[in-house]
Amino acid sequence: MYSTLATLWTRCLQATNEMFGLGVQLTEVTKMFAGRSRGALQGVSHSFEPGTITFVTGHSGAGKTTLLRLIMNQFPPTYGQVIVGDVNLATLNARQLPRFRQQLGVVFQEHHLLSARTVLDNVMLPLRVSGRSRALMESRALNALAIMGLDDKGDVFPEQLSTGEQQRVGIARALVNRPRLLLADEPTGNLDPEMSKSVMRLFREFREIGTTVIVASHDLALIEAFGAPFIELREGELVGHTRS
Amino acid sequence: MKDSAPELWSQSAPRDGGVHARIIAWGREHALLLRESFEHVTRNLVASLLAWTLIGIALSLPLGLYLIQTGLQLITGPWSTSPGVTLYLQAGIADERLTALHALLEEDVRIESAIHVPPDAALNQFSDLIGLESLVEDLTSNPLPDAFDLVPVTSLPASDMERLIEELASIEEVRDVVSEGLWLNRVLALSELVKRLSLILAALFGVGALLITASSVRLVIESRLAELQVMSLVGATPRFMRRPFIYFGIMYGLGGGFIATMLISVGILMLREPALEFLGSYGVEVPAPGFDAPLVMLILVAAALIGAVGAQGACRRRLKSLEM
Ligand SMILES: Nc1ncnc2c1ncn2[C@@H]1O[C@H](COP(=O)(O)OP(=O)(O)OP(=O)(O)O)[C@@H](O)[C@H]1O
Ligand SMILES: [Mg+2]
Repeated sequence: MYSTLATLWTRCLQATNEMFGLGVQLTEVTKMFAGRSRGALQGVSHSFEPGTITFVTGHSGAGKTTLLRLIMNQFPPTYGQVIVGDVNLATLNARQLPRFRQQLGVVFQEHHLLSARTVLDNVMLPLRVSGRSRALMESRALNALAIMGLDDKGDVFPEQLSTGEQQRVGIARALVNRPRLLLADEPTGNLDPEMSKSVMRLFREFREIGTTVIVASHDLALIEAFGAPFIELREGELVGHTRS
Repeated sequence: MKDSAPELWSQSAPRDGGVHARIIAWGREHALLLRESFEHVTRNLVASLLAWTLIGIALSLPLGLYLIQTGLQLITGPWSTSPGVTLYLQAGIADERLTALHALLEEDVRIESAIHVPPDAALNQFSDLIGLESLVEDLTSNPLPDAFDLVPVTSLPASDMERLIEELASIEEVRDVVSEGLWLNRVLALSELVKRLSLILAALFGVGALLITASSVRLVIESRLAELQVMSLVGATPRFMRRPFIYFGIMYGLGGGFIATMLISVGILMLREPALEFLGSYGVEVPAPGFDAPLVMLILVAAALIGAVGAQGACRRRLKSLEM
């Protein structure tokens, strides 16, 4: 198993340029929401190196989701700057934003599946928006579903799935376009411990092909079991980080 | 669950082809959208029918007027030049006075030509017309006066025409002014009026139809905001997100255009008989105004266009205000 993975890995590394993963640099980032005196994030500075996996942890309401949303440019920071790859997100215009997002894979905390579409259509969505051929979309989406153990669920609708299955569909959708930066918000929140570990292993493999991975999770046990570096937020402030 | 991410992309995944594959993907995408919008419309049939009817009514009004106007043009068409006016003079006018009068008429800018018709010529014309040469030959003296056949300039508006006739009638030597077709001039003026009216109405109701599609599409957008948000977050371009709604707009427009043609057809069926009867009473033979295939096509295309533009507007407004 590992030898085949190793060869695959080297093949992929050859196929991609060395700067495949997108680094993320947060500089003194503060995010205020209307009607709140305290920022959801307060002067957070951190650098996520390309091709690394980092966990973001903290209590509920600490600002984990807000941090990921800033990185995908769902909204701009109130102060400070966010740089992804070599792009300062504040400079992205309406035409550039979709292209930027097409390089990301995002697992949303609330899954965000399209209820009117089948599981397969949901997983294909990131490929569809960039106008890929049907054959490529289907083969990749079916592969991604197979990896998430959902081989037989392609034709059903998200409501017909358990919450954990929906979460896995969300993960499959995030993987399908071979992201340069993977943002996962509580990706294991609804999964059993075994499944959680599998997902984490999967994310680590992404790092191996060069993808930068940022995982928000409050599951400290899981993080420690993985020994991966993490940063911790408390009430919007960065209170600690490890490096490995 | 299998543990292999790289496998996802390396495993004999078909390559993404060249331009050809892209074009096919593009075509498939549009076919899919067309099918989806059609399904949406049929699933929400009542709401769609309402929108179609509103758009149909909005389109049929200017359209009906347009058809009436073409009908009027068919009536007036045969008279390519403006209708003539005949000036009958008192009996026994001196020759020099006739010449002066002729010169006066020819000088008038409103009159294209003035031809003097002497009593003899008039009598011949008359006898030819009624076919009773013997009766005319029996006449010992010619009862007809001198006359002038006038042709007013073509561009003369109906009001000026009436003024001209009044002026001519007030000339001392003139006994009678007979206008062949004052009513025709009125029809011409009416036709022009209807034409402009239908243009104004077309503009007004076109905007109305536009707003109706825009608000119908807006409703669909509202029902899909969550979906749009997700699409935006996975990198959908605004153009990609607008596309399905443009199709909805086209569907609404086409449906409206169809209803409009139905309304107009019914209208023509109902009005045709009385219209022909009315025109017949004026001794005019008129073909019914044409409601032919090219016109129907034009209506449908225009309606689809209105739908697309309305949808585009709704999307631009609504999607811009989305916080993505
Ligand atoms: N759109 C918003 N408007 C106003 N306040 C917000 C908004 N989003 C987040 N917040 C606030 O910002 C703070 C951080 O929220 P965030 O969602 O980042 O927390 P989190 O760390 O992801 O929590 P959880 O573990 O529960 O998901 C919270 O106090 C939250 O109430
Ligand atoms: Mg959160």
